[in-house]
Amino acid sequence: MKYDAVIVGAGPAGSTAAKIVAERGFSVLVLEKETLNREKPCGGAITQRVVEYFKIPQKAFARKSTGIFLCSPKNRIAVIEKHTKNIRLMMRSVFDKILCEMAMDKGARFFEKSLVQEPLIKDGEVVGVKARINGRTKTIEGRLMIGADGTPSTMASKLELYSGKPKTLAYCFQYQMKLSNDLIEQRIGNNVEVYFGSEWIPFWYTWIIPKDNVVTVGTGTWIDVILERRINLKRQLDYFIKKHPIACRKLEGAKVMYSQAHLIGLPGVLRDNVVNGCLIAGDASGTVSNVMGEGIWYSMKSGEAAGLSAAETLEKDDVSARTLRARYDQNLDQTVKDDLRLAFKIRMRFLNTDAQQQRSVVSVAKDKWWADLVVRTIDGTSSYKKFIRQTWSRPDKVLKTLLFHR
Amino acid sequence: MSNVKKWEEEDHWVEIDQNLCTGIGNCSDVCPVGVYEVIDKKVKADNIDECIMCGACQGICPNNAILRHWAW
Repeated sequence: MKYDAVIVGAGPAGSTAAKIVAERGFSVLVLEKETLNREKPCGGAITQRVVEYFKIPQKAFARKSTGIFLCSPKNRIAVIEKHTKNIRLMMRSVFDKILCEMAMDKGARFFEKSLVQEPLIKDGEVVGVKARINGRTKTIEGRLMIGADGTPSTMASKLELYSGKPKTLAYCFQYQMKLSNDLIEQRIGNNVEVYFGSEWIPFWYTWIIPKDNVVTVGTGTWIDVILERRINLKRQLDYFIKKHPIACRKLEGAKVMYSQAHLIGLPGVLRDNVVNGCLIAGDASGTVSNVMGEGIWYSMKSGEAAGLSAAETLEKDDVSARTLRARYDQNLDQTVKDDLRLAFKIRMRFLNTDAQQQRSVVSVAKDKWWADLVVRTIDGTSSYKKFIRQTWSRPDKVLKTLLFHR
Repeated sequence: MSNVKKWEEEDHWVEIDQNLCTGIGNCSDVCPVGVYEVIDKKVKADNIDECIMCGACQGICPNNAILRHWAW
């Protein structure tokens, strides 16, 4: 059987694309290499805009976050108690499955345990995929393929789309740890906790995110840094859990249930995200923000744009790279493009070195103006463009930060 | 002539193409659980039982020498 659209990967981008293409009456097959309720390495915090825009049912979530806890390299703490909008905390096994079900409701088909090995290419156009489905190698034909297979993406890799640029790949490692809700209440509450400092991890940060009788504790940074400095993320995280003066007390008695790790694609990881007959979307195309590592919103928006573009090009029966690129560019929100483009700049100016991280956390602790701006940027109510514009509009605040907030 | 070595665990396996592997050891540097070891400029995956299937090794191998699979 030939499908209109074959989507590789049943994550947020793949399922969002599948839903949209199926909704418009096309036959859709989604191939997932694991199972649909597989757990995934992810902090598991999503912004309210995801819930509202994509109409995610409440049962997807384990907890509502009411605050953000920041700890600087020199252990200065800033707590922003109230969000303008709530952040939801969830386990990916539950969340991703619900997205799959939303796509199934619209008629998309899902195959589990189906590992795509390579795209099938005929006359310079992708015409299907070769996959190992329940132990057997099969070829599946489609009019259009969407690679939403995360990082490293088999589709992008086989189509030679990786750019090889430095600082476009990150790697993270995390534990899901058992901790009773009583102890979470006492020690962490409903805050998303972020710990800065190169002693724990250079350039990026370590996180503690409370769920339901579980805390997610993880760390990560650019892969170039990990290779250059030969950082072992597991050792680094163990060290953090044992030795961080503040975090170690919060995590006392927490037991590791299992560990998870993954590569993360950042903007610029691909040199292009289209070829004839195939579009790469979501994390595979580098839709994770460099600022706080938010990925699901951008991934789903990318999946949405891919789904819309797929439907439009299938209707016109023109899946050439040129048309796909034009449609995708049109369908992807300008704010999403701007955020992904500006994230690196913001990171390099405010969050990269220990000194910058220290200044940023102290500014949030001391100055309500910074706290408000930061929380709106983190919870997604304010775009990165607005963040930059705001900092430009108040040179006095920036100067004060540079001079006094150490 | 193809020269692919395979290490197996219950639900997954890792294959390393010995012709492509140059032993630069990015995989052993990145692997948080120590699956890989470079011996005589070739990578071995003797600790495959520790593998958490994150796929970083495959993603960063500059020679595309590593292939991972679930057993299904």
